[in-house]
Amino acid sequence: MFSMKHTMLALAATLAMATATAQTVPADQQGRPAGAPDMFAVWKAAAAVDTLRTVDGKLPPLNAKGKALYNKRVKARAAGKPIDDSTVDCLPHGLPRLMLSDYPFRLYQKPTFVAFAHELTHYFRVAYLNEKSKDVDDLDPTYTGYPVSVYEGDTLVVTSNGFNDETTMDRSGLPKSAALVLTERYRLINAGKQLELTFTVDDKTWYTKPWTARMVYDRNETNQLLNEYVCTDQNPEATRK
Amino acid sequence: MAILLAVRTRCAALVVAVSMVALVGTAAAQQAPRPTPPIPAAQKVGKSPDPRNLEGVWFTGGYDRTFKQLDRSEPPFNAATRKEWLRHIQAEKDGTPIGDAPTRCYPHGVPRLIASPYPIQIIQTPGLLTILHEVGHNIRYVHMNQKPPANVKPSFLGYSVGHWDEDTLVIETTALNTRTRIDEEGIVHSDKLKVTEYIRKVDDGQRLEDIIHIEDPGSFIKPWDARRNFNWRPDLHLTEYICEENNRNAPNESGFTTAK
Repeated sequence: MFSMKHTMLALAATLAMATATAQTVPADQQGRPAGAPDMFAVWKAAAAVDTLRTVDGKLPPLNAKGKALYNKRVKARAAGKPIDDSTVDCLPHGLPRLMLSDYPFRLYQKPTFVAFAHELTHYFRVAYLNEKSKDVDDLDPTYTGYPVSVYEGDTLVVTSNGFNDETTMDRSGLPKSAALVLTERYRLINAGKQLELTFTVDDKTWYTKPWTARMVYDRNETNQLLNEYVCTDQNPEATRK
Repeated sequence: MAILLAVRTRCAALVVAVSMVALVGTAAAQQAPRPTPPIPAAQKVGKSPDPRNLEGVWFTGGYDRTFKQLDRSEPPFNAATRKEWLRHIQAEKDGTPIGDAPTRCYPHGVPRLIASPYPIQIIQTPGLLTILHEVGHNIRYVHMNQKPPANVKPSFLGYSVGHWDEDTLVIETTALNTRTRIDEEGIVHSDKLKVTEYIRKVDDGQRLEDIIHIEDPGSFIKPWDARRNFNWRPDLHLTEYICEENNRNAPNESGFTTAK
């Protein structure tokens, strides 16, 4: 039906148009790479998670010294004197704990990175796409770790290592060490109205094996205002999280 | 039909490839603290030719802890504010500097935040321009093409709205609380402060120029302008900065601390 010449001309014309379009698309319309799911929005958990459970509904598989440390923390908290909680002094929540709050965050998707900007303590992290994780020995331990990201079909995968050991996995005090490798898998569910996070914790210091937990966030208006959240010693909010 | 579909797929791949080539940088994560690393002799990544594309990492060339007018003269203080300014300078000389917002890890305020010697990352999305600040992991949100809501509660970083005037981004910030200073040295401000920034790409997109127009009839006898410039740094990623760690004895670039 089409002559070869016609097809080649059409191809050349379309390619030329595509090139011109790539150069003139305004910055604020360049978003996620072609084929990536549309996760660019403000997301908010319906309820904060205080104590992590695995996807099987169980307490994570602590080893012996993990159990001892966790029991110590649980007892202290029950007695009204919580210990080992970085956030009381307005130090960061770290990951995965930050993802367990019910404060909103915005997930940005760009051709070369994804970024999470949180209302809670105005925290952010940028995970560059298709970067390889670094060797943990080449990283300064941080609260954020070193996140890298990749799209696997309909799932955004963020892998992080290089964490310090100053924080806990959750508010209840589940132990967390600098050996943690955290793998987060984000996927749209419920016709795009919700974002499911399934994350795997691999921390050989405190757990007998890797374990997986799940959070779900509701989609909010993309340009919803994120309030200024300022933590101070005097801020009662600081001790609530 | 199959041929046309194949053409579309190749076009999509070409568009992605072009944008990836334009934007992928050579990552060289820097560790805190932040002496300004030298700009690589050859920036491997092409800049966007679009004057309205401000995306990427930008970093001041140097740090001026004071705010001066464009001709380097002191701001046009009213008498009370000039007295406060001198009091701050003297207190520092006396060894008892007067702390302010970032001393206690609050956001620095505007315009002080953008003068900080730490990189920023600008992200543009429909209706919103976001500035990620490495310093204190502060975040500024610029709401594009709208007016601020009525009765905005004052905050450390205020409420910013922006619009494009030809190829200049105009950011207007109001609702700034009075718990911040305009500079590090000692310029206080009142609750009437309004900061208007005129930002544009200069030097073939290698730099951002930010003309900072300060209006505060509670502190100055007339409006005045300062300037800050930023270099385009695709070689940098923002690193973690946790003010609350109070890490005053971090090693310098030679690996030495000043701890006694």
